[in-house]
Amino acid sequence: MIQNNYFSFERFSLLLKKDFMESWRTILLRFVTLYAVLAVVFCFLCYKDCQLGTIQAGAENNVRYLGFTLFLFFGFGCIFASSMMEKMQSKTKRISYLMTPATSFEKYFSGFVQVVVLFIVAFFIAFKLADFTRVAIFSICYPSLDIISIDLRYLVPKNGELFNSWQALIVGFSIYLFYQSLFVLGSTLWYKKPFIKTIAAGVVIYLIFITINGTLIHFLFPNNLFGFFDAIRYCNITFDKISTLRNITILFSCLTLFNWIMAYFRFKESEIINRI
Amino acid sequence: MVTIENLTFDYRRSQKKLFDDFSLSIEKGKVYGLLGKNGVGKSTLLYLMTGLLMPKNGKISFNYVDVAKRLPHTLQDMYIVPEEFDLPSMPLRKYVKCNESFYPRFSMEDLEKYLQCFELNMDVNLGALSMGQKKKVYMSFALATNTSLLVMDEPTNGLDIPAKSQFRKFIALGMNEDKTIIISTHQVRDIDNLLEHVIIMDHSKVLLNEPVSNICRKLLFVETSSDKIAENSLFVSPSIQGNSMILPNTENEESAINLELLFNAMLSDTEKLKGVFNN
Repeated sequence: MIQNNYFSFERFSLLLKKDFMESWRTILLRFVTLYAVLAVVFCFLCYKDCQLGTIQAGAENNVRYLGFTLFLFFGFGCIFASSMMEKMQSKTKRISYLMTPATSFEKYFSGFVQVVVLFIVAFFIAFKLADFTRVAIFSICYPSLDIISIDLRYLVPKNGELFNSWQALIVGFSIYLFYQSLFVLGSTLWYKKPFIKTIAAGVVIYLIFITINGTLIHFLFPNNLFGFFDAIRYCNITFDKISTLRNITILFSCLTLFNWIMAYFRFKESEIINRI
Repeated sequence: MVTIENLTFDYRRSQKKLFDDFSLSIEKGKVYGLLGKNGVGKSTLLYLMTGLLMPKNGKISFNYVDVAKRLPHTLQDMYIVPEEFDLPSMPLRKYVKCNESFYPRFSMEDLEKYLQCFELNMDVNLGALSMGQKKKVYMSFALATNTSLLVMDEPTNGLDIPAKSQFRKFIALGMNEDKTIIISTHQVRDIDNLLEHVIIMDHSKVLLNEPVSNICRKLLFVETSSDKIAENSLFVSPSIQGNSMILPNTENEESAINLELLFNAMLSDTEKLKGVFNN
């Protein structure tokens, strides 16, 4: 009998196993959707290249494919994150999930591992499969052309231009995690339609933020935004690229951590009647 | 086993408090019947007891541990069968396999025994069952977990006519001195032979909290075809046969408890009946 009331790896594994066994159809369907969308996008891009005769190996082609891949990675990452608390969607599901003998942290972490960590693994596999599908289809349709796989090395600065430095890649990933964490938080706040509600809340908060900033700049600086930049120049504030990127990474990482912690406490205090 | 101390609880949209300074104690090894009119908070009380709702004030403990903490040690020793529930669409064997490990005292033999009670077996797919059959499977699994506390909200709702008597057999089969079963229901005729303790609630108050043996020792439940009402009757209700009456049991006679009559009597003249138990 497991007596640990905080975190037990054995109980956590049982919870993950239960989640997978009970919802393997949904998980499989999502994976197939991921693969299908990637395959359609890659095939469409490849078809255009084959038609225009612009297919070529090298940085430009790879960067274009990788750009679309990152866009989809970001989008699907947020969509999947908002499904993290779908076991709390209805009253009956909430009863079943909250009564499962595991700690709130184990339950939260099990969902977190699935939508944050395993999503990356699933996306990579779907990406590879979609790319192989593209190569297989177009190698048959256009035997004269040399269709090659997308080279992931073009993500990193040595080989391509998608991210011009390692720091930029890390900043990109920290920004992705921050946005994804907003959807994780959203899934604990709204059990029904969390994706749409998180976007709506995000837009409202963004508009309020812009309005407050605009109003402050308008009142504090005589020439509005130009006055603001003049003030920065006057204060002799210079931005060192590396330290700026590092600071941005730290800022987004802290905000991400804050969102994850907020989401955990919101889940921990959840009841079968949603009082928000 | 379960102690509710000075509980205060309300729903945000509700005008008044559902529970205000409410206290109750549940002992080990008994089958409790929780009775009350619609909206008095029976289901809410069950959810509070299992930590699915958090009290505004007061404390609810299960074996001296606050249920609001939802500790695994507490959760693995209690099970709730709600009126409506969710079962995944998968074979029962697979469902058992992924859930049994959470309950240290789960017994597969018991599960098979309880399923047989409802004329079911292990080779069923949960997705292919009717709502009533799902309820039978769910209740069988719940009882087979052998948790100390089993809470059932309207367990006989949705069950067919044979299943109502099967349910009585099922509870009798699964009950032992280490378990406590709390049944909240309006279908009192389905459970009146099962209960060992009756709790009648009305608007944040416990009107009656007595063992069935004590109720039957103090009260006499009589069905008579005569229209003549006994002078010393505590409560009379007209029935098809004539009259159903509750009389003080002064001669220590034996009678079977009539929960429906007792419930109506408690609601219509609480003080009169309370007086009988206080003497």
